Amino acid sequence: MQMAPQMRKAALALHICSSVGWIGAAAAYLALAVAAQLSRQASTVYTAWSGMELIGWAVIVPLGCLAFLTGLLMSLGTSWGLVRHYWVLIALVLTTLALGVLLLHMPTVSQTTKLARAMTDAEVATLGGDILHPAAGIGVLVVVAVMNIFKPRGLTGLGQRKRPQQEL
Amino acid sequence: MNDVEPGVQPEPNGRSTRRLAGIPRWVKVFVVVAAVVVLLMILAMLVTGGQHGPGRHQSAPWLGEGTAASRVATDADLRSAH
Repeated sequence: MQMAPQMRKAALALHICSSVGWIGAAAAYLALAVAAQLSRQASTVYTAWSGMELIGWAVIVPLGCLAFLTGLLMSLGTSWGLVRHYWVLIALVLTTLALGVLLLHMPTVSQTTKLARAMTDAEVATLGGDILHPAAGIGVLVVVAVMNIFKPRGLTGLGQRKRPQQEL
Repeated sequence: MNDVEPGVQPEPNGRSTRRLAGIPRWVKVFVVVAAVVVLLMILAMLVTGGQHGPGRHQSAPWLGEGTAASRVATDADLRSAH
């Protein structure tokens, strides 16, 4: 099913805003994670973890879900399809992976923040940060964004078989 | 994402796409690079003794042994027990 041009542009705008916003929010999360990792002050570390939990649930998760859903809509609602082009397929796999890890990881962040409330200042000061997840996530999302812009050529087997039928 | 319809961009060599082509080189390179990155990450975690993986996210209450949060949980449990 093909979307009408106005509908397609609206969905595209939503997809771009949510995808780029996801990267920006992850960068903000990473800044807090680095602060928690480097600081030896309990108040700074605890505040950073609280901020990471808030940004994670209130911004990153909604934007990630929106980017994923609008990406599906753009693929299925246009002739790009979901598995016809390699770049779309790879972007789908990477986005699904990033969103899955995010949804699995956020409860751990909440649990760490909750437990930090029961810790002494000395323990909080040595809690450390959570740099790996946001750094890897940003890397994956930037790869997907670059792929979306360049759209490298290449049809999958399914895409090659469907194309002649569309041209008839 | 999709600001241009795929039919607008012609194939670079101008040939008909009715003949099934192989996997593009950039896809092969991408898969190899991704596999190397994943292997390096696994290797780094093994070398540094880091605990990570899907099981870490599934274990109740979300925490695996060796993580900062699990140490906190253990300490908190010990304090509450006394």
